[in-house]
Amino acid sequence: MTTNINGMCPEIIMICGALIVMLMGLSRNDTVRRSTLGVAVASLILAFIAALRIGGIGTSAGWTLWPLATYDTLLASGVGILTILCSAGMPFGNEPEKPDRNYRGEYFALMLTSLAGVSMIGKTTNLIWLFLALELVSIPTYIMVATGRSNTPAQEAGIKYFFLGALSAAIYLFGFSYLYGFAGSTSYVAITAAFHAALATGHLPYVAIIGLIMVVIGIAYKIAAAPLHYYAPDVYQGAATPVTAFLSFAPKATGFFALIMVFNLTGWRLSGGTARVVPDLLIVLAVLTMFVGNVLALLQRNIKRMLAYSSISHSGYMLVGLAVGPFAAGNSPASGISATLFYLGGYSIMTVGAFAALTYMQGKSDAAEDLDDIAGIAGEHPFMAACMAVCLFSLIGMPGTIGFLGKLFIVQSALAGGHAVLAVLVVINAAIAAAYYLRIVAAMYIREPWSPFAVRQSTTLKAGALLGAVLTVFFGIFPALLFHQSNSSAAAVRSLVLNPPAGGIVEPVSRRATGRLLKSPLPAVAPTAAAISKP
Amino acid sequence: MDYALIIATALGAIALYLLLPRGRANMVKLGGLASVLAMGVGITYLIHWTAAAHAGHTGIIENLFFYAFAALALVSAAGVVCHPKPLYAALYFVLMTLAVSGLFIMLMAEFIAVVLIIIYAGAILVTYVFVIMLASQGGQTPAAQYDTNSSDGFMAVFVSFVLLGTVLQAIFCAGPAGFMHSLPAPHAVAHGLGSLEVLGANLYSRYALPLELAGILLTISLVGAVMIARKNEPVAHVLGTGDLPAE
Amino acid sequence: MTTLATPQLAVQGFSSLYEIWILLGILFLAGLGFGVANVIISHILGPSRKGNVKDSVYESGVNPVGTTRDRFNVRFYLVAMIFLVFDVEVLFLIPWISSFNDSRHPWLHAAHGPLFLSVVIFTVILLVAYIYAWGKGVFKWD
Repeated sequence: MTTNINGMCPEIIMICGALIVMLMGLSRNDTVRRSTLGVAVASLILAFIAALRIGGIGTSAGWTLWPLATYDTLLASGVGILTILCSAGMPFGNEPEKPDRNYRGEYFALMLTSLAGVSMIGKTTNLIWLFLALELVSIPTYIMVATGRSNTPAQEAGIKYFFLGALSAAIYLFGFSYLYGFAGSTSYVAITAAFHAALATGHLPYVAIIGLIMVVIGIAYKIAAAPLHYYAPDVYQGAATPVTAFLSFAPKATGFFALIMVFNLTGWRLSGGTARVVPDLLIVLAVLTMFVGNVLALLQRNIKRMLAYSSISHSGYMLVGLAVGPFAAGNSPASGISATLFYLGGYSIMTVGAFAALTYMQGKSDAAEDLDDIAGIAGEHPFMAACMAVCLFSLIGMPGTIGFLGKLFIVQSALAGGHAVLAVLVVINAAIAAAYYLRIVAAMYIREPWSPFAVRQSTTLKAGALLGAVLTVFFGIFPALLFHQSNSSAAAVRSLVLNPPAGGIVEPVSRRATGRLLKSPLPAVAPTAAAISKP
Repeated sequence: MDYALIIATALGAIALYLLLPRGRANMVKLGGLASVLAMGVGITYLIHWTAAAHAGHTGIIENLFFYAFAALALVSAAGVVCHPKPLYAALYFVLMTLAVSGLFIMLMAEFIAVVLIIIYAGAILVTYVFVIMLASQGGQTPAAQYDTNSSDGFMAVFVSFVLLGTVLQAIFCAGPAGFMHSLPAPHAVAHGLGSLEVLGANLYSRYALPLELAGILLTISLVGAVMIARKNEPVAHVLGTGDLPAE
Repeated sequence: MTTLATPQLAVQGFSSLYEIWILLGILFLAGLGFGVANVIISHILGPSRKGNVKDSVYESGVNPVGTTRDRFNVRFYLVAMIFLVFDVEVLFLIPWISSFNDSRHPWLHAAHGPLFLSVVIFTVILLVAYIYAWGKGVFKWD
């Protein structure tokens, strides 16, 4: 459990930042309260730098997949900065001048803790830890949805999101408990060994399969995969737009990293016998999610609902990569995991960029969310309309943007993995999706304005939208940086699966951090995971 | 496939469906009968199963406490779902917690049992009751129909009992794919993992990081409670504000 | 539940868990019987009077004001929430105290920095929660 404390540095920075920001929000001085945004961004930048330095721990021993963990942390802190820039447009309470009626500090604290949870998923070595990390992501988002706006739809969204989220947490926790019952330990090492042994005999116990299915279903809620997507449109619409931007990123990234971690336990080898239902379930989820997201998005006039369905459909594309698994296409970027991770990075950047631009266009009242409300906005605000258009083109998958490369890799991986039908379905869905994204672009550029625009003049917000658009194009033309990360993560997954660590390996303990501990060896009293797993 | 288990599950589903609070027809007696039948079939199955596993030794006397606590837990859990008054449902919840903590004591996990009572029967129940009081309409107005009647009862019962049936089949199915076959040896009990000292030794060393995460989760939940509760203030003319009226 | 004799049981003079269950069962029945008997006996022996005062809700001797089915102030909920958070914190601390100076787990002793630190960090995190609630004026009842 005691993973290298040095490796946890980014999360520690984020959580310390969150606590500091929370206390700063209590200040009676408005300047101090306003500077919370700066502190939040600064702690994320520090975490980003720390993650880059930790990347040097590299592929070294232990169970933690450092490349994957580093990619996770880089994504959480990097896209986290974008979402925080986005939330410069939050109304922050009805009476901003009263310190106990203002929740600027809490808001950023919630955001930072949630991001710390996202960034921790890749480093977990134990199901209990994984569960706590998932909750650390979710609980702040429930609060953010419920308090971001004070109108009735926001309250409804908060309640809906909280109850269904708690239900999904119960489901995957139930699943975890079955995995624990199957392996006799919550430690990844022991569970991997148990799966390895069971799959070698050809009889995966039903409890393990039930556990896996429940984990997949519970986490499918987090990524808004159909048929667990019903909450998404209402919640995305009801929440304040900066919160929606956060929702389109944090739970989704968490869900995909968690799914990868859970499937690592099984060694991605469930294609035989009764265990086949799990990969089949992934394929069904992927196909349903793509079609439900794209077809229902066509019917929407509300931009936030449209983007909610769009985010559902993007989950479908990423699930295709997961269903293909790590083996197809070997070390190329077209291996399933690599494609999913690359797509996840690209999707996060472009969708948060789009939401940043939308927040700007919505104005102070936060009410303008219909297609008519932004009709013809390009004439008056060409800069933000262009940022929005770039992100939307990337969501469509236009060449030259990151969205194109993402879809390309997903299709390649599906073809290499022998899932030609899935590849065709992805292409069909990309074509359907173009229709509704282009409607937004057309509304901005072609139609005449209905009423004067009341945009939210905020430099921070502009910076966020600009950063999103620029990164979308930058990674579309120079994808090597993102590539390198997603690819080495996938390579780490593959090497772990091909050479699973023996059950006897005790989890690595940082000698520097707990030097005195080692004088009296822990296993003498506490039964290690390995001891439990070997009756 | 174990038909006795399927019958018990189906009977349980019918019982729960009939017991769910509904305005129109009162089928509580029929539901009670079905639930007694379901528990009878279930307990008979368990006794037979134990006898088969332990060479004819039924173990009824040794397991009497298990059966008592388990039955109490089931009945009170049904009470939580089926009682039309939320406050009574909360009290059934306490009863269920007590029963489950009895089961934990039988597993030699005394601390977990006590924690269950302190947290659920103590803290969480208090929160429940305050939330119920907070949400009550006040005065003598009868509760709204959506508060007393179960909605989508059929779907809820169907889904939960399909899940229950699947899980039971998986646990009791014989052969190498069954749960009992794959169950690791109970090292945890042999090492006294449930005891307080070993728990402390593990919690603050091996599980130190999740512990800190739990602390952060607690902090965040407090922040959330304060944010959500303060947003809706002030509420005039509710208990606890203003002066007491003159005698 | 087979006879699982552990060393601890032997020390306490029990030969098996089974004996403990029997004792517990007697205790449970005695407790239940006492409660039920009291209700029945007072029902039989006690005088039954009716009247406005007798039928009113017992509020510790104070005349009740209005119905109890009234809406409560949201502050009660906040108090319950704060209680819940710090209740759980204390529960987390109990295992630590129980093995604090245990000679079998010397690394938990206060002198051994890093592990003592995990307790300190946990407490500090919840101290921040306390400061936050204080700063927000949750403890003021006006």
